[in-house]
Amino acid sequence: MKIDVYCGAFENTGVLVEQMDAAGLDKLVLAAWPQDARQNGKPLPQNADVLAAARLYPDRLLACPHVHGLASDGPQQVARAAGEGCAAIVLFPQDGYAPDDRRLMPVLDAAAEHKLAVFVQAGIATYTLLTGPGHRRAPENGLAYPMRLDPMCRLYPDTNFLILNMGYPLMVEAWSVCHNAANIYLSLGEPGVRTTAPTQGYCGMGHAAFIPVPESKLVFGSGLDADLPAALARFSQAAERFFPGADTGIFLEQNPAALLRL
Amino acid sequence: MIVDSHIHYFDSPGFVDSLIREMDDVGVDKAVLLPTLEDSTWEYVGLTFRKVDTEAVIEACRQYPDRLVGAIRLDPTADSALEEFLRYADEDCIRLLKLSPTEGFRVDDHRAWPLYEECAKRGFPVLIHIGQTGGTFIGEKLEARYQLNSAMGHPLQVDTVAKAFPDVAFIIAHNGYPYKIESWAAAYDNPNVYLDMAGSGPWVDGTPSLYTALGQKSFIPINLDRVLWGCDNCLPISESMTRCSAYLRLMGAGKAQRALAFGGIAARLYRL
Repeated sequence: MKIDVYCGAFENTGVLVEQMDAAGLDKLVLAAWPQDARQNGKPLPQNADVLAAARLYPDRLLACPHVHGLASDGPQQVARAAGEGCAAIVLFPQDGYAPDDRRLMPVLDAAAEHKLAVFVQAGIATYTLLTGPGHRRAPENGLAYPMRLDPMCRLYPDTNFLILNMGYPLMVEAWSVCHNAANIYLSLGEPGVRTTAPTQGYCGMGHAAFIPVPESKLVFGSGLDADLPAALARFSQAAERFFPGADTGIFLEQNPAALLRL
Repeated sequence: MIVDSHIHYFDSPGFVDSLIREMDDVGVDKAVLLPTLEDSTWEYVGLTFRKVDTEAVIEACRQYPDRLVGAIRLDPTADSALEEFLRYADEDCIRLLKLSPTEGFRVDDHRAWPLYEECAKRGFPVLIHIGQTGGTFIGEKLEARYQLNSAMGHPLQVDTVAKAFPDVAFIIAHNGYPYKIESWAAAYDNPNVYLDMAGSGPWVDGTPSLYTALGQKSFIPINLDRVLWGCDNCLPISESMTRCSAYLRLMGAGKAQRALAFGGIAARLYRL
């Protein structure tokens, strides 16, 4: 079962499933964004969108709702996600908290209780918020350091965490914390620098001689690419550079299944 | 004189005698013994630690006073930090302060300033674990839902304290893995910042490959007169020495600089 563990945008579920078929993907995880998140002026999927899509195609699509880590009803949101059959939730430190913020623990407790994977948008997330004179807002990327997942992955050893896009541009921290923890995964596959920079950086900095990223931790995530065959091809090339000669089935089937407990 | 600048005290039976025997076998004259973190486990060595604090290190050093010197380890931001430091600082075997920010503090926290003033007065270097740690709390701290946090210590914090205390030697352990670039920058900018090559795996093995990949001196010139070797209990001492010697050569260190790394610097800093 080939899985795209992180798709961050879609226009139409029918088209999305056609793209999945064209790429040979069996399942895809649709991740939501914080309220009012936009890219190039267009709204990004919200929880209601991803949940509705997953209900339309329950055998093909899995919803990954956004939970604000500091929301007073965060644990309840996680419980609802589990009740909907979600395999993961997504956290955005850009909402205003660092991944090692202890106020996040009720949400992580709930995720652990319901055995949900926790996706973390570490590094620079590519979205904006509605902003204007007298009402300035922006995602707080300065809070989203991958290394700050370090204590949480120790406190929640049975929770699987996924650092989206290898925490671009903070890949070195992401590689380090992934190398050190059995329960941290890394995704790759978005268009542009979010795939080229980690790949080129890893090879340029000495590859496994610098930090040996475990083969068992890499998963495919198309991110914001609507062209899934192209995203998969991009990922396959990158995976080959990370792990020359490795069977891509590991990254498309085995690792996602472990991450999502499928 | 050959000095292992970075050995953790383990509270396993016969540890000190075994260490001395190994040092004798490979020709290491002295070792710097560091307290480990209580109630922690290091999975990769398969050991769990209970009593591995400064007092345990002092007891160990007293068994071999001409071979072992030790460090005080504490939280420099604690209210009792200065009192604790003064309790042990006059012990003959104590020669440095060891800080582990992964416990949950920043080294540039101004509450640590009185401690650094004492280090300046006494000529005590400060060895700091910066960056990724592999250990895990298992006791009271875990019960209270606290864990080690590799994000707490960053090389740029060392830059701050090095500039505030130019008369204190600060040693960034493990080249600050994974923040090696920032560690090199901090060492480049501050003549009182040293780097240690202690450990195994990416903590130390990755240093020469990264340094070379990025262009060596043309990227950030590491002053190879300010690099120390230590085993860090990760490998047999002889293997650690062999690897570190090879890595230093790859990084451009000549014979004199390697001699400094394997004992010359430690002898000066720790008054051996």
